[in-house]
Amino acid sequence: MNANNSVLDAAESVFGRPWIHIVMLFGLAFILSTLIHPEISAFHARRPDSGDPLASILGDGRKLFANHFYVKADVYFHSGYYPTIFDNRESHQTAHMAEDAGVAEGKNTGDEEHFLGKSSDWIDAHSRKHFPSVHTHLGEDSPDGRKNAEREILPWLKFSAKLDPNKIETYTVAAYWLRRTGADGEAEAFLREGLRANPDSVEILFELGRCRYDAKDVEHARNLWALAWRRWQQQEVGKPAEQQNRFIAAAILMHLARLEHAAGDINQCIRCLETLLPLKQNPDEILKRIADVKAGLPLTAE
Amino acid sequence: MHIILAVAGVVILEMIRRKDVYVLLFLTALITLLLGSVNLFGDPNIARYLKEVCLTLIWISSVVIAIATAARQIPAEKESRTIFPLLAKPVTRAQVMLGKFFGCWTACVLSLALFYAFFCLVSGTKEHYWPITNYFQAFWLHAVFCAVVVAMTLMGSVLLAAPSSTITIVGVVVLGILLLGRHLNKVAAKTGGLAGDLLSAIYFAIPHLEWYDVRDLIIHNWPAINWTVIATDTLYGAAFAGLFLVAAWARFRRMALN
Repeated sequence: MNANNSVLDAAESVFGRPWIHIVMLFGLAFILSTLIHPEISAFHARRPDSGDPLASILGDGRKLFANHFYVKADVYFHSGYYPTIFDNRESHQTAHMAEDAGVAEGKNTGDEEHFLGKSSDWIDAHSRKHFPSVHTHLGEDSPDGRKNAEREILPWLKFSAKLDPNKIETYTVAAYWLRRTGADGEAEAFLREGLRANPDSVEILFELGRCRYDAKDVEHARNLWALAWRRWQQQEVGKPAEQQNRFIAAAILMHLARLEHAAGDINQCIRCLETLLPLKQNPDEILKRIADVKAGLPLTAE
Repeated sequence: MHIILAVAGVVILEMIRRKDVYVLLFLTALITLLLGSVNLFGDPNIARYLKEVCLTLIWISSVVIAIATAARQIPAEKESRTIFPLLAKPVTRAQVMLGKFFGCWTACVLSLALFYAFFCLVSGTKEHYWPITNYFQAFWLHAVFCAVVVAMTLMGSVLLAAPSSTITIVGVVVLGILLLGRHLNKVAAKTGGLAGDLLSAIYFAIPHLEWYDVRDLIIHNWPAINWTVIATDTLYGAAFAGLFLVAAWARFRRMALN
């Protein structure tokens, strides 16, 4: 009885101390964490965009920000002269930076120079002296005339791609302007980043082909454009004509035709142009080119 | 005049003792430098996005400093009852109001000078381009903007019950004018009718604070603004600041202090 009492006393003296409670709680927490951690890891791995803190915080809302940053890049392309939601935006429906890069079909109408219209009163007239009110494009007639100023649009495109990796235009536009300012390696690396996120993208494959062609790697460029064309057929042929992205199809075939012409394979060049024929709204121009190529004349750029 | 300067001096000393400006400057510097360290396609000279972020933070900080400082002045003097010995000096209520205005405005201008010095440094280091005239114009217009906001807040502080309501209401008004001021006439034209007329009246009545925000010109390296425009803006701002101060004084003159 005495021995039992002394054991109980000893146990009470040990378990009655606060530090032993802390050690026990720590041990319990450790055991629980080893049990729970694999389940949590498996759950996170099942979620798309796991490991991306922006995706976790913003969810699909990040696509809104991505679009905002994409437009912001176009605002920078115009050195700040850009219509707000209160102005006439008909002339800015397609981003000019994408249109000039040849990666998007222009749908712009209206007057891009004077979307502000005439000033309505003296406040409006005076106000226009405090913000950019002349239409310019970076690299052409930017206000400070700096070399490679086009690169100023790139941070916003990079942020846009980070927020929405599935927005294809971000990669193709950025790649074009990177190539234009001599950063061919960065352009290709950015496109490959885009291709990892969008493995079926015809546009990115086409743009990668342009990168390889500029690098005088003709064989690789041909393969990429041929692959882009196959992907286009897989994705678009079943769709109604008005829903097909014929702009990119025409660009791929025209580049392939030009490549084959430069390589001396006139028959293959003509085949590409003939494939292009039904895709064009104005086939006369293509027919004239086919005739020129058959007559041994050079294939002029579009 | 020396009484006004003495009152203003006290406000500036209070501003130096408080931590608001240092915290805001530290946050602006931290965010700007962190963003500046991002690798963007290996090009260290891309600067405009950084200029935009830095100037936006400077604008937010300046609005916070101007409104928060001015909104507290008169209510704090009343609450701590230091207004009575101040008025017994003798100092007139007009001198108190002017002293508070100049104190708050000078404090804003001093903090703006710090912010713009930092901006110049960041921008020049990145771009290797120092358009000092443009930066001075932006700084001056920003200072005039602060004068109007401080005067508007002082007026709010004698009209409204508590500093918190003054800060909220003036903050909303300033933000509203900055975002929509330029477009109210277009909205009025599209709306038409009585609502359109009302919007049009508001458009002509409000101080056009958006004139003083020339960030886009600075970010995209546009040429300097014509000095006649700067002079017109200064006169316009001074007129509105004066109007708000007279209204604030008229209310303060009749205000019961106990």
